Amino acid sequence: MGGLSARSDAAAASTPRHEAGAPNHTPEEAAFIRQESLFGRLPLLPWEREYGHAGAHTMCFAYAVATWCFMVGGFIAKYTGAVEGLICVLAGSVAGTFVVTMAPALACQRYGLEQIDYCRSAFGPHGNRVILIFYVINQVGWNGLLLVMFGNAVRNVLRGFGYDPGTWVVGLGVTAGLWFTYLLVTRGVHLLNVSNAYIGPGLAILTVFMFGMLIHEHGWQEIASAKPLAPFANRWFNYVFVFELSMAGGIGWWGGIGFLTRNTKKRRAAVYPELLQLGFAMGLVTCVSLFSSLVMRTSDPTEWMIPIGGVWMGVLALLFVAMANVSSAAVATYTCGLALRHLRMLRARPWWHLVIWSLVPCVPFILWPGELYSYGTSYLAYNGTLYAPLGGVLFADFVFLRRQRLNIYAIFDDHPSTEYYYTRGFNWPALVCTALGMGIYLFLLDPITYESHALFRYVTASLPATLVPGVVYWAWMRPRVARAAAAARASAGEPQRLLRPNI
Amino acid sequence: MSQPAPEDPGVRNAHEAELLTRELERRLEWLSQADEAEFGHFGRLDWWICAALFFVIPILVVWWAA
Repeated sequence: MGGLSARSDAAAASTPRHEAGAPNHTPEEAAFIRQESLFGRLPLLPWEREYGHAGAHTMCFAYAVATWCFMVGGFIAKYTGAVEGLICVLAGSVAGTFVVTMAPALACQRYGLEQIDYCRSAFGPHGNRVILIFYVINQVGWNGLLLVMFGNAVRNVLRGFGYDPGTWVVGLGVTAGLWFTYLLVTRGVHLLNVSNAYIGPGLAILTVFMFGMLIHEHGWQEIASAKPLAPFANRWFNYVFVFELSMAGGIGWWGGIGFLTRNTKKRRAAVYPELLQLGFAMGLVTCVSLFSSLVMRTSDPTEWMIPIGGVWMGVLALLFVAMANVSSAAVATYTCGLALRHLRMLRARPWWHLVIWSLVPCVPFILWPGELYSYGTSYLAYNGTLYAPLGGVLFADFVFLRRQRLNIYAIFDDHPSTEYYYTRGFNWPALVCTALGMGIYLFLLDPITYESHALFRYVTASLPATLVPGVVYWAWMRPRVARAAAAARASAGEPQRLLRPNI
Repeated sequence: MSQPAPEDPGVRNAHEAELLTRELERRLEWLSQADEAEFGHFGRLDWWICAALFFVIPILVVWWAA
């Protein structure tokens, strides 16, 4: 963190003393605490948070709209046409986002918690580390795919100018994207918020402009009648598969929910922007990509905007890609850095160390961008495999078992006597139910080969992988949570202290 | 236990650790006892709206349109 001997943070120096720390703190101590709240796991108090309603909408939109929308739209164009795709994409995107948003959004907003800290109530301190591993893989994977798309966009624009430098320029684009992301993230949430205040509306305008160009050039009739690129033989399977991919896209937001909502001031600002932007807006932009893929045979805007509007239109699209991807990669990297604070060896490291640790795993994407990018559809399905059951377990835990109340002391205390320590740090019902959900998903749909069970066409894979673990977990944990609640009522009024703080 | 080098950025000294723990306990106490109104309202109607608009109706539309 830099320690108390570091120069006072200018932001902390200008922050009223009661907001930065207890009234008797020195300026250096207040700056230290401010750094811990911005770049560490200290629960955020309401006056420290960045986002009201407008800010949350802007931030969520900037996070949601990146070229992953175009990647997903391109995948979906293989299996379905425009009208069916529009319905399935919008419905799947909002339904998947709903499943993974409600519980973490409300919990992290109410208690100012980082995402992995919140999961402790269901998984225990050591069970949490299992979740942490998958969480980091998720964030790193999306970052890598985003930056490869940025590198591809750079190459396409150079081709538009008549240069074809080869695939190495994609790796160069990934490197540049990593550097921009590092610069943005190391400057803190406030800069992210300021940059997204411009990037969000800019992305919205560019998206509408691109859609307008598409309609002007091809017309809705041509788009609506375009055939999918490489559908499966069974039409019904194509339809459900697209709905499943779209839900997986919404479910994949799980990793970013806590970071966004921890920084919101009011509950509705924590929920509605997430559902509307991460779910609905993302679905709309995905549909723009779906339409372009169907008629232009490519989802990459830097490819299809050049034939329509010339090279400078491709440059405009590249600008869009750069803004969209770097802002989204910055949010993903920020959340990853915060999550890595759970590792003892990184707990007290300076923030820039955590950012480096979050970005270094993306280095393979510099060296093998095409090879890793080809796993994009399977990676999308992987999100559903893990996060669907995770969403179900956490939903049941926070909403139904705990009635939206957490024992926040138990989250930051590693003493075995605390409520969330469970069995040697593992809450086996949560882990078993998550594994059950993953098994259900893989039984219904193989995300690598796309082979499916007959049931998949009626129930999808994500829905049962969410609902079944949630119900089983609720039934399994109900007696234990009831006992803990009774014990809490019995000891109400007694002062609480941290016996073994884990921060 | 030996004290870490004072300039080592990866380890907190005892004073920092104690300061952080006290600050954490202060925040936990505040968050535990805070008035719920401080965090804004999200009630039964919000839940019905979200569940209907963002989960139930979308799934029904997909089935109906199939």
